[in-house]
Amino acid sequence: MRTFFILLNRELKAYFQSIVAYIVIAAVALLHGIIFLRSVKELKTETSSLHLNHVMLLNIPFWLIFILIVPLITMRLFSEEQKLGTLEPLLTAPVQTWQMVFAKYFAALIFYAILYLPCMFYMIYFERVVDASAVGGVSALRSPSFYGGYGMILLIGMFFVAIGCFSSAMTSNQIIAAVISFTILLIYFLLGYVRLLASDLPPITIEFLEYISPIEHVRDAASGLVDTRPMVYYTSFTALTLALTHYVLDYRKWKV
Amino acid sequence: MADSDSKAPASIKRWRIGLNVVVQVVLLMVIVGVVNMLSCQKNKQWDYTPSKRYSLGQATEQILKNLSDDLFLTVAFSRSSDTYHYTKRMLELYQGASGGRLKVRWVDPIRDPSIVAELRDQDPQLAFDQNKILISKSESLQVEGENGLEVAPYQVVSAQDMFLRAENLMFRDGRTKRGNVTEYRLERALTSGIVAATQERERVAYIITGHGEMRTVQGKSAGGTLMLEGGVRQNLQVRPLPMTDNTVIPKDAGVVMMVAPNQDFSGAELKAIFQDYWEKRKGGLVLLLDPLSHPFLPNLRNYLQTYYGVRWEDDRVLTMKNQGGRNLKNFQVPGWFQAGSPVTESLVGRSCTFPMISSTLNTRVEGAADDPIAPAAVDKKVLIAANYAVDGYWKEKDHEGDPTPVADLRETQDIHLAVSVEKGAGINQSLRLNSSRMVIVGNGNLVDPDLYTRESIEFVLNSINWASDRDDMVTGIDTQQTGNYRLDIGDRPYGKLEWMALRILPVIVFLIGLVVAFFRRR
Repeated sequence: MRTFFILLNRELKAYFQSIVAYIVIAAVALLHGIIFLRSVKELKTETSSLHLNHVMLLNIPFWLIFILIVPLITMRLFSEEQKLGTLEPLLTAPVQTWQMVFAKYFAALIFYAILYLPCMFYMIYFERVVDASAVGGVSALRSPSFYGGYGMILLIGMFFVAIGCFSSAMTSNQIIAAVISFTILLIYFLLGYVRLLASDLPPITIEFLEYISPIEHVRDAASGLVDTRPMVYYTSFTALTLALTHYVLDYRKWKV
Repeated sequence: MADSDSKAPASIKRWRIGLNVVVQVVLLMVIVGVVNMLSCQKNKQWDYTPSKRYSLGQATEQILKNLSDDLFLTVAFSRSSDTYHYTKRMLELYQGASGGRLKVRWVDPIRDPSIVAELRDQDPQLAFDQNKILISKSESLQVEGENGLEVAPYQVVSAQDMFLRAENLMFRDGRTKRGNVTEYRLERALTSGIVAATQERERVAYIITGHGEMRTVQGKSAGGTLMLEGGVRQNLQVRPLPMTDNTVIPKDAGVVMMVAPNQDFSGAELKAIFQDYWEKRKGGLVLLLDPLSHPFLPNLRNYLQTYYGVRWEDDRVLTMKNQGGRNLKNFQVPGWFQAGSPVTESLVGRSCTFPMISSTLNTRVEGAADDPIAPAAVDKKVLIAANYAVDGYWKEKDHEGDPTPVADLRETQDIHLAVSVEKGAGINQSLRLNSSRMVIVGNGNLVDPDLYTRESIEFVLNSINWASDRDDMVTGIDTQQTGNYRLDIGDRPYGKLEWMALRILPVIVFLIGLVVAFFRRR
């Protein structure tokens, strides 16, 4: 475990000792700020059955940022090591492959979680300034739907970051890694909308598409409905994707 | 030679490792697949929505648990409908609570009209299209009957029954936006539909006629109101019952109603209604009494007071409003639903505006002393009472003469507008079977087709269900109001939000980055 924490520390330093990380956080905070203000304006002009936090989390631009940001965070994880030739020494060092995978994965996940803190802050700040609830009725900090919504964003992020790790492990080119993960995530996200567009889909396909649709999961969680299905789904598929990443990296050991 | 020897085992080794990895990956995928399948079948949900929108009431759970046969729900919802998601979640709960008895089939009538067309072929009368749920006992609407194929009973629950919407919005540029859902009634409508579809017989409510009961106005009547509101939802049939001295209450009567009679009943009629039907046959009575008819119904009044201890007072309830220095009387008073009875359980805390005029019912008078039929105790409960502290009620007693001075009108106690009477139940709640049940209301207009409200009709239907021993339909099936949000935010607070979101926070993060970079370089 000690090795894991040493590696995690190294990865976190790699993120937070670079000004690029802060530029990314500031840019994402700005973009989320724009979406937040857009949601406020929407509720200013039209009555909605959704509260502010719900409106923001179901906003399409919010999801576009979501899909764009994960490849940016994860593209360098393994690709950079491969390109610089530092991966081989790491793999031959007394470090287990899983320790390396988990360290890089959790570092990326922590960075990802930090990106969404401004969103939560906007809601709390909104309640202070406007003296109205951002989550319908109670204060955001005391509302299960507030934590449910962002908890689901974290769960989805767990899976998405794992996909990013996997893509990064596949190639030594960061751009290609980012393109692979962006493509996978975009297709995955759009699958949730296929059921709305395609006709004559068998019921089991519709069930499946609804089961994997992240926007539906957030819709439920942000309204206050906690369901074990998305939890099991994201946790299990995150584990599977990380296992695949592990195998891809281990492949180097036995291919020679 | 030596090279080829060393290469062969390496390739075999690689092949073995590769196969091992493939097997491991396939196994992992199978495990993940199985875990997800199990999680779908045995999922758990916690509903933290403010209105408990994704929870089923006890009554619904009980009804679903008691389903003895499979029930088929054909759900015609478009997947792009704003109520699709909620309907789907609720139907999952219904399926779970039914223990697999409920079979749900989703159809999209726009994208796949073939199933709807097939159902219409089976029954051309079927009114089934977008945003409706068809409840039937078999997948096909046609079943083998005595005379060959015949249409099996079914129920159709429409979106109007399940969702109450705000009015559509019209914008200046000509755009229209469909009104938001303001109230979720799906559970009430669907559970009622399920009860109706599974019931062997319809329940019949008889409305006594021939005593000057509420007239029919422009084709609309009290019976029509009950049919409209209770017919589809609760499988209730409403029939007139012309009352004479020789009338015997029909055997299929689930409940007998008096709706604002203004001509008195003879002794024989009262005996047929109260003794033969209500007490001996453990019937159900719902009496809606119009204060204007009070002087004309001495026999009925005396009967209620003597045998059941309920005195229908000769008064009128009112509130006073001061307008322009003058005290104006308002007879359309709000009555507050009281706790402690199944009739009002789903309505407690809400009020119901009583249309026209109302009189009070006194339950504290001595009664039942010389009851010749059933000496068992009569249990009386107040169902609706006036809240003097909130609304400042008055009772007007001298309404025949000049208006009574305001100071003399004030009454603070015993303003009871509706009561329930139960006889033969005993004290033990668990033995409350086959008791005689009656609801008396001091207002005759609660089901008036032009005056009834959502609360008043809910109360009357609950009363009918309770009086006819249908407690399962009375409680627990509540509707959920949904919050409709609109922000009333001025330019100054919006400006503050704008500053924080677009300037302060991103700049702070950027400055932190600069500081970190600066110290790192040093």
